[in-house]
Amino acid sequence: MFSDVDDHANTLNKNHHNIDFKVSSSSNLSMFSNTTRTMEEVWKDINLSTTNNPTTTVKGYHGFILQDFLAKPFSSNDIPTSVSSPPLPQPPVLLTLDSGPVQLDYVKEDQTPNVCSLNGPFEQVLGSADSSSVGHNIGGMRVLPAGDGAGGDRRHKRMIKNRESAARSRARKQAYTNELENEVERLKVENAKLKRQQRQVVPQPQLAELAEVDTME
Amino acid sequence: MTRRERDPLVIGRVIGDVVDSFTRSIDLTVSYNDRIVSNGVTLKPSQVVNQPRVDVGGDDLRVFHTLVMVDPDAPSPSDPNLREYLHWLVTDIPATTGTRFGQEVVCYESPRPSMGIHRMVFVLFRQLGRQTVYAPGWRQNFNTRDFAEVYNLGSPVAAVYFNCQRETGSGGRRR
Repeated sequence: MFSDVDDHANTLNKNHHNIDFKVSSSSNLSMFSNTTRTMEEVWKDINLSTTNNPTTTVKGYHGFILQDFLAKPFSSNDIPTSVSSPPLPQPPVLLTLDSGPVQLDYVKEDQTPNVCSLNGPFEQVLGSADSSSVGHNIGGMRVLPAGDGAGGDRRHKRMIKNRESAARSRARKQAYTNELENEVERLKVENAKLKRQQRQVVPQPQLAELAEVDTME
Repeated sequence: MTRRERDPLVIGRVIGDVVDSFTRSIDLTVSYNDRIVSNGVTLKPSQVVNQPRVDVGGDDLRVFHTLVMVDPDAPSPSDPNLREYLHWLVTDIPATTGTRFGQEVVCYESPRPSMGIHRMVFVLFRQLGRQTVYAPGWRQNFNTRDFAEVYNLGSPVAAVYFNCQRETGSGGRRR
């Protein structure tokens, strides 16, 4: 599998030599280490860079740029090969759902060929068994086409739905509370009225007793 | 800020989603198994399997009423594309009596919500006279407002609703 990598790397170099992607420069690393980027920020960057350079996809689809980058071959002379994607503004961030951004080892110029084949389509990148560290993390992350911001859309929709549901829940609670309050009020009024009516019809025992006491004196 | 809204029918969006604002003028008492339904109570499907007892107020036996029972949250409150689902339709109910004295145009179908918490709404109209009401072809996508207009029922004279979710529902709470 890895023998294919160099071939493909050369192809990439030929076709996209105009795209330089500095992978291992220390400046990029320091940039990265300054901030703890949230997944959302990274996604946004990916989406923005895709829209800026729509013509630079190598596989003919708005592929998953991060994945493409991860699958990029590691050439022996350590010159960053051109990548089939628009340049990311920062070094690649490997994201996992539980641990947050994780730096790739080969960004630090580690020559370990822990990348998988580039030949196949996108799915092969994911499915490669050899890229243990990379594959594991990829698997932990939800993969979405980055070109149209679908990830953000889905999240946005979910948020709206949740808000509506919360509003309905509050309305339910408030409506029932109001109903009870109204009923209590109504019952209090009715109770008072009934008591008044009863006093007029039936003499109160206490009053009757007092009347007796008065007359006795 | 205007006076805080106190009408449960408004807060629960029954007025809005099913009917327009109206003035209550007739007593409407709906009870399932001797339990009177107040606006916004929650009942389980097992509690509403059979049609409720419905008592209509007023004082003149010659005045007739139509009762509609609909679910505006079918199949799910977050996507009520079957709004309103018609559960029951009874006409020619004389004042001071109840549904058992009326004409059951659409028989009672017990609520079986599968998704979300649904409002089950009863709306009472006063008829101009005895009239023939035709059952719609299907229960879903019933429109109470349109129905009232077609049969010249005017504004509602009473309404009440309860909440219902599936038997094993958690009341909207996680866990």
